[in-house]
Amino acid sequence: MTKKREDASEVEQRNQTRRWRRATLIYNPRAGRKQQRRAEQISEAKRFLEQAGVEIRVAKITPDHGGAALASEAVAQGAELVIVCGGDGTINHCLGNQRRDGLAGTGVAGNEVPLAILPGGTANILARELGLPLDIVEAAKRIPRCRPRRIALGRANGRYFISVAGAGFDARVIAAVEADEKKMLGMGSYVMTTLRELLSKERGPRVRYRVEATDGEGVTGGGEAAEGTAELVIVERAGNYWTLREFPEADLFDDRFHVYCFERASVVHFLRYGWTLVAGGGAGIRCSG
Amino acid sequence: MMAARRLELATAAGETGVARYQVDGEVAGELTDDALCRMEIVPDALTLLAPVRE
Repeated sequence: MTKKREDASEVEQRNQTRRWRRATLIYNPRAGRKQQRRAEQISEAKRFLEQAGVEIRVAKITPDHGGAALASEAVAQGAELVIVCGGDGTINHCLGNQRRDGLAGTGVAGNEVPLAILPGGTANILARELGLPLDIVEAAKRIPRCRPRRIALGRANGRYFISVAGAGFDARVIAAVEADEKKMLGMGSYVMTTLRELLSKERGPRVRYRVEATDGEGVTGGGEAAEGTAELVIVERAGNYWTLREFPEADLFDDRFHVYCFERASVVHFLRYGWTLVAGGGAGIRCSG
Repeated sequence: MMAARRLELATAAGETGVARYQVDGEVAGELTDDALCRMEIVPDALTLLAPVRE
């Protein structure tokens, strides 16, 4: 067992014997759908956790006071648990960014203080990955029965990510999703925008990638590194992205990510990809042509 | 699929326009042929409260 793994194990054991006494619940009132019910849901979740013996301080994200700042304040003020209610983007902000000296930065990343999540977003990739109920109050009721786990994070040009990253077509879709449509249709807005982008005559530039294999494991097809070009590159730490568990090899509790490169992002190629998913559970998906 | 700890991305040679990259469902930056995005794994970076797996 490496020194780092021993340290991680000690942190987990210390946290597992602890009963949370003080927690900060950070929520994003503008995330996901059903925003008009958000304050009521937060009150109900707070009431349940207080009945379970946890003192809860509620902090609302505002344009001037973002998730990273609130999470950092919570840690500085002695919160033993930081609970974030919002979507994957809100959770990402609360991770914060690592300081250049490598020490714990703002947010919950790099700290021992555990992060708990309440799904209040549109896709809720992380909540689905953890198998949490997608109802905020029901998810809050699960918190006392959860256990802290030390996990790895991905980092893209200095910015942490927890579930997924990507380049090319999917980032183009995300950029093109309209806020009003997202509020109204939820996940349907991503489907609509994906179709619009697939049928559009405009093609985004291809992305050049170079992947270095995990130590001791070659990349698919052999060798220690692979490179090429693709219209879509997806980097998965979670097994589900479009809520279908399309990437069964990916595991949040694994110290690596999985890279999927799609040479073409077109209707035909996505249909082929869908068929592979139905026929083989996704295991055959790899750099595809 | 490739299991990995490091990845570099850029816009492919000869392509025009700007490709974007995203993290956790948010656009995080742009790629050009000389603006790389470097992705890596940071072990033991977060303590996450997770349901106990049966």
